[in-house]
Amino acid sequence: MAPELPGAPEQLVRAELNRADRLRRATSADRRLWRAAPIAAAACAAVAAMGRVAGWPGAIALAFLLLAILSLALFVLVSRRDRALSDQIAVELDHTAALEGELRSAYYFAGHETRDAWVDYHLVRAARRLEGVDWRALYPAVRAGRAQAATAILAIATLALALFVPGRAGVFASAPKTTSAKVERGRGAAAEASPLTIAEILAKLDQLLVSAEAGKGQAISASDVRGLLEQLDKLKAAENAEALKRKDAAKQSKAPTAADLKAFAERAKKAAENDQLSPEVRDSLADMSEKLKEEAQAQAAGDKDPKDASSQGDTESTETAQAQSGSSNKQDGGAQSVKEAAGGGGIGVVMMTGDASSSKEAGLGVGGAAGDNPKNGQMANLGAALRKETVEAAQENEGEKTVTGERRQTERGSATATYSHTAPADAARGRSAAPPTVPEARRQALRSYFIRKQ
Amino acid sequence: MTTITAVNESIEQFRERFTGITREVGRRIVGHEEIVGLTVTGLLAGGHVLLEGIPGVGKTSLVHTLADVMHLTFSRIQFTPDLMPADIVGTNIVQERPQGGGTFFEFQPGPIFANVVLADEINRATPKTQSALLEAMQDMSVSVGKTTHRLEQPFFVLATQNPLEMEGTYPLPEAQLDRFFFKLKVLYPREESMHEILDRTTGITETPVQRIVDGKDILEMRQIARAVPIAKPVQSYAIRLTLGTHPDSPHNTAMVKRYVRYGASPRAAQTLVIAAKIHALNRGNAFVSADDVRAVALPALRHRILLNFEGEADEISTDTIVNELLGAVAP
Repeated sequence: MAPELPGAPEQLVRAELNRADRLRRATSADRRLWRAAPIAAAACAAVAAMGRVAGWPGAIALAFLLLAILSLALFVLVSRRDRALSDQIAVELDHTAALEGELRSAYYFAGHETRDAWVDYHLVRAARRLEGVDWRALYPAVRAGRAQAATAILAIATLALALFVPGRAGVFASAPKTTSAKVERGRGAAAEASPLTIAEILAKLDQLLVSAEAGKGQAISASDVRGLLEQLDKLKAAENAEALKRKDAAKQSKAPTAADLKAFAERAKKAAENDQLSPEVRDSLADMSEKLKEEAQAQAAGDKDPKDASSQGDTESTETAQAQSGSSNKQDGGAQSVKEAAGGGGIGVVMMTGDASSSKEAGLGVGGAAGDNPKNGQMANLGAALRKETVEAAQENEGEKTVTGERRQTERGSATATYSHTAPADAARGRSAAPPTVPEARRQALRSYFIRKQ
Repeated sequence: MTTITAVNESIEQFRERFTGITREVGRRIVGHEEIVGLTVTGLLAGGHVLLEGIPGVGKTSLVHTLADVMHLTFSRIQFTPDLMPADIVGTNIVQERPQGGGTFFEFQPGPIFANVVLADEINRATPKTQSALLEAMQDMSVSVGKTTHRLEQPFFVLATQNPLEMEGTYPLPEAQLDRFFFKLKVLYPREESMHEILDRTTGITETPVQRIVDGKDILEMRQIARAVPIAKPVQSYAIRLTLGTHPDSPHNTAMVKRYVRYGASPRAAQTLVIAAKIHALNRGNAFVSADDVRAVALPALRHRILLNFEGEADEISTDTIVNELLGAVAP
């Protein structure tokens, strides 16, 4: 005869069922938890990493981590809390323990008052059988070593990224600090954007030329020279700004003279003929030489301008008046101005203001009206146009100045020559932008491209 | 505790007797263990069993052997197209009184008055004759003229029939089919079983069988079987299975909707529950599980499903429909 049961069989059945159900839910919850935890931790770590790159405050990653931990904890709590048993749960437990329907049936009869000898027998037998079931073996604790390790590592990584890894903003960065950091960054960028002075450019060029003259051709790259050329262009573009005037005034004592520029141009030209340098560098140096020479000429012409203005009398005063009329009377759709250089073939620039900008100051520049529109009348464009004009004038009208006379007549309104208006932007592109230099490696291919094979 | 012990003894006794019957029948009938077990289940449930199979597979031998094992009166009715109802139930015949006192009608019982009745090839008789069994099978009584005669218990009809597609057969009316507890399909024995059959039946000696139970034991076993408790969720499963055979039921399947004209009657649910109880007892359990219900679902439901024209035309087997239902209805 089997030993007596420790209590009423129906109570034992229900208690055992409750215990088994708790274990079942715990196992199920743990399994899901350790499936989800590494994913959540990885997401937090990703957020932290993105935060470092994007400059978010580390507190965001910490908040994500906290939210993930709270969510998972809530899930575990909800999953594990006691629930009312049901026939469905009894079926599942019965199936797991291979009790062949006995647990399900016993669960039903344990909750009902109607009893007879058969039901009692059934419950007693079920309770005894349940005593022998090792539920812990059926619902073992979830061993998720890898998942736990991965979760821990990722959580630590999240914390480390958020707290210790320096990013654009620290974890404890406050809003004012962030703002000041942005301001600092802005200042740095502005400093980078501001062009070098002519003296600085020349100092850098000097270094390059010294290297080239010392036979260290390999140390010079075409990009270095191009960079200096760009700086020179930027400088010209900024020349019309008030800041530059102040800068020049401050550094007037250090500003190079036309002679210095000419000397640098000669050195650059000489370096461009150095065979030890690569063709790209030589081309760049040649361009640099040309630019410096033009700059020297421009500077020399600038020095002479006051004299010209006084010596040329009526003609020049008329020009000045016309040049000023663009800003004073604001009547015409465009204004024309000719500025003549004193030396050589003479330099003339025709500036046309756009109709929309007729009310603005004419200023200097191709297309005129440099006032608000930065594309028009910039020094770089002006310089380019000036060079072009100079070359053309020198070639076609060597020593005769016939065109100059015609232009003057035109400006006086009695010219017989006709002019056609061109859009300022087109003029800038067509006249001032030099074609890009063909790389040495492609020159042969470029030549052969246009020669049809016989 | 005494009652619990008594229940335990009842279960053990039931199992012992059940096993004894099947074991003894198995001495003569080879390769049909499941058929034997289900036939005994039907007998212990108080139902009747219809055995279907081609001639020569041992249907009649099975019934003969059962009668021998159970020490019950046995009669056999060979159904033929010219068999009349009176040939089955009996008739009043004129008798002369002794000493010349005139004549009187005396009831002459037919072969139906036995504990075990073998209705051999039942579908060879006309529906009129087949219907003569209806009252006997359902009410365990026979009415002749104005007199109703009770049949001795246990009363058990074991009918055999050939597959319906064979010539000279009359399909059983649905009402009579529903009165059969189980419909069992006796299949052709396997090769290894054939060796055993030949060894036992072609020798000099006939295999003797032992009488295990008598009528009283069988009635007692019936009472034990009915005492087994069944939980409502399990009973609900049996009900849902039964209802699932109806084309307009929410528990049915696509096949039922398409091919079934009429589903199983509530008698089918009764059959499922009682048969499941016997099945559970036979496993030594004092409870009924969904597995017990599933184990007896096919023989209990297959003859209670009436196919529609499309089902007949597509030669759909009711076994297929029941199996699909077992897969679809959650226990």
